[in-house]
Amino acid sequence: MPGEPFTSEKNVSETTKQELRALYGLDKKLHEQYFIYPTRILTKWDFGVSTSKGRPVRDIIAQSFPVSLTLGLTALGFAIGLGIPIGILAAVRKNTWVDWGLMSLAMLGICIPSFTIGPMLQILVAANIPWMNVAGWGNPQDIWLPAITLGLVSAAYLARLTRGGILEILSQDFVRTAHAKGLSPTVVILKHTLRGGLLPSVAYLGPAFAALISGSFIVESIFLVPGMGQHFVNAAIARDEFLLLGVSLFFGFLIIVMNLASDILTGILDPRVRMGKEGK
Amino acid sequence: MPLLEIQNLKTYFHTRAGTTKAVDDVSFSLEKGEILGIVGESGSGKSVTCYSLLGLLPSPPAKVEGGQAQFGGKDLLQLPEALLREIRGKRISMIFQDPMSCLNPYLRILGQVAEPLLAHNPEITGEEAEKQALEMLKKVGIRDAEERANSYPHEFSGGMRQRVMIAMALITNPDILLADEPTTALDVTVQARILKLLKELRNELDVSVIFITHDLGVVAEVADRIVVMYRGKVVEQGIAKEIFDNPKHPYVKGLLSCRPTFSTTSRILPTVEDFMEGRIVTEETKPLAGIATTEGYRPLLEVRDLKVHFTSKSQQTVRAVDGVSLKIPAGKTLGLVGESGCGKTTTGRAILQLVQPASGSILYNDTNLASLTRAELLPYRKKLQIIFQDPYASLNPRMTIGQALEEPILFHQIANNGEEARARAVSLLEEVGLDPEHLDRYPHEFSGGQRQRICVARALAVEPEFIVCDECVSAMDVSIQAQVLNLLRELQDKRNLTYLFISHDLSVVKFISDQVAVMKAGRIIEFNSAEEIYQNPKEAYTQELLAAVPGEG
Amino acid sequence: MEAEKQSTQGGSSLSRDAWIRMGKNKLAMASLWSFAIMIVLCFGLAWFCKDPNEINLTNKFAKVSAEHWMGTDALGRDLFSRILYGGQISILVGLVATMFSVCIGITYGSISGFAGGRTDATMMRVVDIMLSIPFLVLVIVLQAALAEWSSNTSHWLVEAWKWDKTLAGRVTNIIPLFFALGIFGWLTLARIVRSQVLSIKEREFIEAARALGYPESRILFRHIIPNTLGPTVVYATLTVPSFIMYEATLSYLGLGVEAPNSSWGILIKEGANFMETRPELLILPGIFFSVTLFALNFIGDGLRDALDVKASKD
Repeated sequence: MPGEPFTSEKNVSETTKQELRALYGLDKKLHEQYFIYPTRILTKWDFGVSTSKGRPVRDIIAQSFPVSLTLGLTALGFAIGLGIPIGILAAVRKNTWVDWGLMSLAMLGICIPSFTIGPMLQILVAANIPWMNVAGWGNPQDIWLPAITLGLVSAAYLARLTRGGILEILSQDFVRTAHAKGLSPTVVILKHTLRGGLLPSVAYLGPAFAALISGSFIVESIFLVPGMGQHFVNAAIARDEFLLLGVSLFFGFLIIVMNLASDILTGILDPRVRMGKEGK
Repeated sequence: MPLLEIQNLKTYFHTRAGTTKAVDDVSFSLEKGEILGIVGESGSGKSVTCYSLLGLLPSPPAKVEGGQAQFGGKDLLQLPEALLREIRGKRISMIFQDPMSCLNPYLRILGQVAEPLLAHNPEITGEEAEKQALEMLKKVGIRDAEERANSYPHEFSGGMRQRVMIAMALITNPDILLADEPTTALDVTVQARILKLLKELRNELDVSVIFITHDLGVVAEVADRIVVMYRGKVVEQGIAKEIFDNPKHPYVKGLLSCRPTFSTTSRILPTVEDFMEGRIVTEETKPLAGIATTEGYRPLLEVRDLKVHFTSKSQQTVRAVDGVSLKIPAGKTLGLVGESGCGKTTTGRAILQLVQPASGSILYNDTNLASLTRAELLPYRKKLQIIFQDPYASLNPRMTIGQALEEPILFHQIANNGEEARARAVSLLEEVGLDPEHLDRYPHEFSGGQRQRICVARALAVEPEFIVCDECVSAMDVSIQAQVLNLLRELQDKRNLTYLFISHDLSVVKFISDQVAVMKAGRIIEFNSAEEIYQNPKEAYTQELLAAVPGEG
Repeated sequence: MEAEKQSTQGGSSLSRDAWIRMGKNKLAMASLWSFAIMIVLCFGLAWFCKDPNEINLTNKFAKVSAEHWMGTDALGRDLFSRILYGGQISILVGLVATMFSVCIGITYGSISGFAGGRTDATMMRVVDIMLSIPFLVLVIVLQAALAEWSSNTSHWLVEAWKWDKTLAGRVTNIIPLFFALGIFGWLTLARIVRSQVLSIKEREFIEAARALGYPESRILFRHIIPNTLGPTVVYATLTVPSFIMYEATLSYLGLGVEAPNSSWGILIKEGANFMETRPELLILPGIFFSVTLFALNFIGDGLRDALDVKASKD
C-alpha cells in the first residue's frame, strides 16, 4: 500500500506525526522496523492502534471476533444441516428429477449473491415471522437471517461436493463388494460410502469456516452485525494499516487452525492418511 | 439335479449408441461340489453372466432380457431385490479381480469379514460374528490373524487381501462361490498359492465354485468342467480334460493353440483367425539349438553392474536395480523375467537412459550410453527404442496416428519433407499390418491390439536396431497376444532386430527368447539360454517360478 | 461390456467427441444458448437502447411502458438500458480477468509441474501462502492502491492523447479491477494445471517421446500442455461466473466499478435501497445476473462431463 499510515486527509501537525512515528517505531531504520511489529505481537499481544478508530487493534478484534464466531458457527451448522443431506439425496437419486431439482437449487444458492438474498429475506420472511428480527445484534431473534444468508452459499457448495464425493465412491469396486454381501442399500450408503464420500466436504469445511467468520462483511452490513468482516473493508478503504494487518494476521492464524482441524478430521475418516501413506 | 441351472440367459446393454448383446442365450449348469471354469476373452460376457445372476449389474444400461436361473427351487432372475439380497452373500458369495480396490479402505478388516454374518443373521451378536471372522481369517492362511484383524486393507499385500476377500465370501458357509478373475492381478507364485487354497477350501467347506477367467492355464489347473464363451455365447462346454485334449469348436481350437506353452516349439504362433477361417496351420519348427553360451557372439548391448536407486517418500534409498549385468548379441532376444517389483522394468528404462543409473555402464557397440551428454545421446535415440505395456497410455491422445508416426521421422530428419514422411508412415503402417487409411484417426478409435501395432510402428519409424519390449503383450487377450508376438518375430527376422523382452509371463518369454535372465530383488539370479533355464533350472527361485505357472507340470 | 466399437468414418478427435457429448446435454446446451443471447443483448442490442445515464427526474420510478421496457429508476434512467450496459462491464470483467488468470495459471502451473523437485515445491509454497490470504482482502487492497494510478492515468489520457473524458474514465476505472481479479485469480488454476502436468508427465507417451530424443520444450509444448487443456477449459469456464460475482461484491461495497460505468453489482446495490417500495429495481438486475451465472456454471459442468474431467482434489 502506498503512503504511510499517517498520510490522511486530516491535517496533522508535523510534531504530532513525529510523536506517532516514534510510538510505532517508524523513525527507526528500515531493517529494525521489520522486527518491531512481530516482537510486539509475540511479547505483548500488541497489534498496534487503529488509526481510523483510535483504539487498540487487539480490543477491536476481541470485541468483534465473538460476534463473528457465533454467527459463523450458526451459519456453518445451517450449511452442514442443509447441504450434506441434500448432497447425499441427490447422489443416491442420481440422474432423476430429484437430483436435477436439488442440484439446480444448489446452483441457485451459488448464483444469487448474498446481497440479493439478504434484502429479499428481510422483506419476505422477517416481516412475517415474529421470532426473526430484520436487523441488529444482541437478541436471540437477530441471528437467524444473517446466519441463513451467510450459510446458504456454503450449503450449496457442500451439497455439490457431497454429491460428487459420494458418486465417486459409489463407482468404486468395494461398493460392489458390499452389494454382493447382501447388504441393504441404506447400509451400503451409510456404512460404506458416507465416510469416503464426505472427505471432499471435510476438506472444504476448514477454509469455508474461516471465510464464514471473517468474509462476511456484506451480510454484516445488510443485517447490521458488529462482526469482524467490516473491519477488513473499512481498514482497507481508510488505509488503516495496523487494523488491516491485525485482522489479516488474525485471519491467517484462523485459517491455519481451521485447516489443521480439517486435516485431523480427514485423518480420522481416512485410515490411509492417518498412516502417513498415500493410498492408491 | 444340478445346484444351479441357467437356461437361455440373455443380458443386453441398452445405450444411446445402440444395444449390445453382452450375454446372448447362455445355458449351463453347476453341480454340487464342482469347480466350473468359465473361460473367455474380454468382452465375451463371462463376468456379465455371473453379475446377472445376483442382480449386481447397473441398470440401466444393463437389462436381463430373458432366461431362467434355477437355484434352490427358485428362479434367481425373477426374485424381487429384497429376496435376492438374502441370497447374496449368504448362499451365493462373490470374490473379485482386484483385491486392492474391492475391500473398503476406510474400515477394519475384521469388521468387513464379519459383516455378511451380521447382515444375514439378526440374532448373532457382534462379538460372536467377530470370533467367527477371526477363525475364518486363520483358515484362509492369514498369519498372526489376532493382531492383524484390526488393521486396514492398505496394510496388507495383494495376495493377503485376496485371502481376506475369500474369508469374507465363505464366512456365511455359502453353497456357491462366484470367483471373478480372482488371481489375475497377482504374481504367479501368489496365484499358485491362492488357487491351492481355493481347492482346499472347496473340499473342506463343500462349496461349489464358478471360476471366471481369461487364463486357460488357470482353468486347466482348477476346473472340473469348463464353459467357453465367445461374444456372449457359449461355444463349447464339457469336462475340462476332454476339451483341452480334443476341442471341437474352431474358436476353442484356436484359443488353445495360440497360447504359447512350455512345449510350444513353432516359430510362429497359429492365430484364432486361422482356425475360425479354416486355414490350415503349418507348423514351422524353431531351431532347437538356442545359443548355449554367449561366447563367440559379439554383444550389441552390454550392461555392466548397473545400479539404479530411488528415494522413497520416507527418504529411504530403494535399490530398485542392484548390480545387473547382461549381454545381448545382435539379432537375438533376451527375455527378462521376474515378479512385480523385482526391478525388471527399471532395468529396461535405465538402458534407454530414461532413468538415471546410480552407477554402472551401458555399452552399446562399445559406447557407454551412461556417460554421454544429451546431445551426444541423440543419434543413439534412433538406435534404441521401447514399446510399453499399455498402448493407449503410450500414444498422445491429441495426435493422430499420422502425426505420431511423422513426428519422429521429421525430427530425426529421416525424411526430407512432410510428403516423404507421410509416405514412410504409410509403409510403416502396412508393415505392422494396419490399413494406411487409418492415418488420420486418433488412438482412442483403435482396439488394444491395433494400438500396440501403432506403438510398434512408431518405434520402427526411426529405424532402430534394438528394442526394449516392456510387458508389451501382458495386458492383451491371448488371441491378440499371439498376433503381436508373431509381428515381433517377423520384424526381427526382416530387420535383424535385437530385443530385450521384459515380462512376468514365463510361457511368453519361453516362446520368444533365445536367452533368459531371471530377476529377483534388483539382481539377476540366473542367466542362461532359454532351453537350459526351462529344462534345467539351477536356482531354487527359478524352480519355484516355473512350478507356479498354471497348467504346466 | 468391454467390447470396443470401431467407428467407420474418418478420424474424430477427443475434442470433437466431447462436443458431440456436450450437444446431447440439454441443460448445458440451453445454458450455452442463454449465455449467447445474453451476449447479444448486452453487446449488440445495448447500442440501440437509450443512454443509460440520461437523468430525467420528472419520470422517476416509471412503470413498464413501450418507451421504458422495464421502467425507470430513482433518477428516471431507463432500467433496461442500464441493465444491458451494466452487463457489458460485468461480463467483460469476468472474461478478461479469466483470460489474465488462465495465461498466468497455465504458465506458472506447467513450469512448476514440469520442473518438479525443489523449484516445484517453492513455487507451490508461494501459491499456498497467497491462497491463505482472503481473496477479497487482496483485491480490496490492490484496488485501493491502484485508485490513485487510475485517476492519474485518466488525466494523462485526456491531456496527452485527447481522449474523451468519459471514455478515459470508463477505461481507467475498470482496468484496476481486471488486474486485481486476474492477478489473484490464477492461483487455483495454476494448481489444477500443475497436478495435470504431474500426472501426464508419468504417462508412457511422454517416456516414448523422451526415448525418441525430443527436447524438453517440445515435450512440454506439444505433448503435455495440449493434454491439460480439458481441465483448464472446464475450470476457466467456472472461473468466469465467480469473477462476475466478485466484481458485483466489490461494486456493492463501493470498491469496484464507479460511475459513469455501471455494473450489475451497482444496479443491485441501488435497487436494494428501494426494495420495499420498488422491489423490481432489485429483482430485475438480480435475474439477469443470476441467469448469466447459472448459464456459465452449467456450461462448465456440462464441459466437465463432456471432457470427462475428474473432480479436482484441490
